[in-house]
Amino acid sequence: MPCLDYLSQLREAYPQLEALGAQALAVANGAHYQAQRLMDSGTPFPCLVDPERRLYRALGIERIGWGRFAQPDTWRRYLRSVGKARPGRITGDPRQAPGVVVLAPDRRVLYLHRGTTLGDYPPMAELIEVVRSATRN
Amino acid sequence: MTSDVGDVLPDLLLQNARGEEVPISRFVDRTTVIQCLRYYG
Repeated sequence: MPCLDYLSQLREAYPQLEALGAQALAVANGAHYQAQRLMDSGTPFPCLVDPERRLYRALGIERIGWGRFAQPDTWRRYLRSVGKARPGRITGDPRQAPGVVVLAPDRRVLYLHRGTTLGDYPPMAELIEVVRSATRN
Repeated sequence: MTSDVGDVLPDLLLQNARGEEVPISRFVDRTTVIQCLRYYG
């Protein structure tokens, strides 16, 4: 599953982010028990739930359009991740696109990636570089 | 509102894993990476 695969990458990168003075959060519009399970299974940062998609709307991260959903690269991303993260029950809106935002302590948006399809996340190295630049100042 | 780089995100209410509403500002006290995802399982 592309989202859990990326979450796993974020978990691996977390010590590096912490060393740079940053932290991480996971936010989804799925079920509370799933957020709890992720934290119980070792996610070293809070997993929150956004049932009304307030954060998604504020960031302009939209739902995946049917046309985009049907494109081959969407399913290539999905299939690439299947071996890396165990599939399970999807809760929340199955067409919600993913994204990543980096916020300053005053909630200023330093970086924003709006995904347009399943698994559309930026490379982790790019994210670490954003954090490195932000925390250098 | 649709944030772009440089905008300030409003202090939104999210929920913790117990279903309690929590302002996002409580979690953002230093540079913070947020993954917006879908939960499975």
